[in-house]
Amino acid sequence: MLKKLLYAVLSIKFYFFQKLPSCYRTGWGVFTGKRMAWDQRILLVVSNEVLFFFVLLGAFSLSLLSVYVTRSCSFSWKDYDILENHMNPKTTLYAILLGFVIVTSWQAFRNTEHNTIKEANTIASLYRASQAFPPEVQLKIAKALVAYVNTITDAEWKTLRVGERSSQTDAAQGALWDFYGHYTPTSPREEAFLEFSLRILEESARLRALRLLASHQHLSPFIWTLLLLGGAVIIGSIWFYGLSTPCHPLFRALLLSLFTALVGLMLLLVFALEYPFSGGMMVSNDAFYLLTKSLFHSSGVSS
Amino acid sequence: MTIFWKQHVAHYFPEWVVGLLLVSSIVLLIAALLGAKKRFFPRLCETTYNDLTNYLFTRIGVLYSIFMGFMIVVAWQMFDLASTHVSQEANAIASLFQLSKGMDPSIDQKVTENLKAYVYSIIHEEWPDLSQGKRNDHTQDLQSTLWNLYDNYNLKEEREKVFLEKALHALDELSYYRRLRIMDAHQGLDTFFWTIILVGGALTLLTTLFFYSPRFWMQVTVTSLFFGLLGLVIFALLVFQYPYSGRIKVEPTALNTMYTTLWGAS
Repeated sequence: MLKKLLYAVLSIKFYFFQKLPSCYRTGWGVFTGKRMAWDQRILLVVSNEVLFFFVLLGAFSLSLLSVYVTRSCSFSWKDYDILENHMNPKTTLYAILLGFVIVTSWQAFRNTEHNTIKEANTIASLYRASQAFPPEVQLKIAKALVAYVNTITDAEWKTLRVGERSSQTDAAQGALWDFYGHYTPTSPREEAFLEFSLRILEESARLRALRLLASHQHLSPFIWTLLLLGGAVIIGSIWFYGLSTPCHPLFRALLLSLFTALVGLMLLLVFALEYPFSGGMMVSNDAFYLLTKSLFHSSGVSS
Repeated sequence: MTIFWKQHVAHYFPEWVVGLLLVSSIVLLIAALLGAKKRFFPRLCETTYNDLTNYLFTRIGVLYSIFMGFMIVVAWQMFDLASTHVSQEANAIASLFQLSKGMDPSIDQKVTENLKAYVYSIIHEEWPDLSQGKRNDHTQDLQSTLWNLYDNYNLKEEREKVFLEKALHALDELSYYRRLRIMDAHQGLDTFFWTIILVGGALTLLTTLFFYSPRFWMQVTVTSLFFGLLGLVIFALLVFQYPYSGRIKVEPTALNTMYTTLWGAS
């Protein structure tokens, strides 16, 4: 029986695994042995809209359950006074903590966005600086840059969702380093441009490293524990309030679910902001597409 | 590029009209909901719910108000950062101007002329386009010309190499801040953020419907005061999230000052 159950669970898991594109499968820790956070896995398979719906549904179900569980509890007004005096400062503290976490997560998200724009800009600068070299060198650099940008938009943006780098992008970046590393400048002007290009390439590599780091960096488990435990305490405290007053169970459940849903939605926002390259709310690769469209396309090296 | 409806609203209507419409529609909505509650859910009009509602509203109110306070900080930071980016862009342009003085007069003159046209184009051509989240093609062309000037320049002296390197760095900075400015112009708060803000507001509003007061208009007034304030906060978010749209926006003051200092009135 246990064997059959285990087989059924594994089959379901395998079914969903097969449904995922290959780039996601490589990051599916259970199968590849690579570590990937559980919450990042959820963001891969469930959209924000579905999670949003589940939070609302879960809040109402939990509230209904709480009304059912606490139906036989009897509280006096004295108990309520104690509950109220204790919970008021705790709710404020929790709200401030949640607010700070949301702002910090948002700032990290925006920083990643700005770094992405900066990275796209380094590639544009490399392309523009390449115009100082002889035509055949210009063409080689342009082709290498187009290949690099294409691997970023087509391959790496997908692997970033699972917090991994793309080997194709690694190779394209390596080719760029190889080219500049072996190029011998023929004039002082070329020397200046080569030095500038190397500095920009270094900056581009640094920004890419930051992007890769941001793709799998997450909130500390301690903060998550604090948020979830705090939320549970605050929500749990409201279950016991108002038991002495005659109240329709459905109305009571509805009222309780409003608060539970609000806490749940704010936690969902933290969850959605946690990984800037996974889920429905992610850093866009528009800056790179814009680069391909405007700069490379106008000069005829986009393909 | 996508232009969101929020940006359209900010672009075509004065701020005070949007604010007034937002607050008055919230007040009307509250009156309608409380009226509907009285008519269709008479059981909710019982004083027995007031204790529980009061207890919950205190919590929801605190949670949502603090959240909205932080959202204002986020939106204000976006606005403030956009303003800082413009100052940094102006600084990069000024550096490029000064660095060209260290090079041969032939390229210095060309760079100065082109830079003047470039800054003028940003202030008078690109700035109006930014309000719709767009960049200006003419400004883009002028930037490319600047790059071309340096790309095609043959160094006359060894000394110029240092200036060329610095100038290229300033050009890179200038391009970066312009790219950032264009991105800032069309990237507001994410739709998911707005969903949480609006649904959170709706949940808070629904909680107040469980309150009962025998005087209907008294309840409408008190509830409207709270949600009117909330409406103003949402309005502030709308205003700050697109730093280059609407009447309250980042102005090219830093660029104007720099232009006036270097070349006289624009």
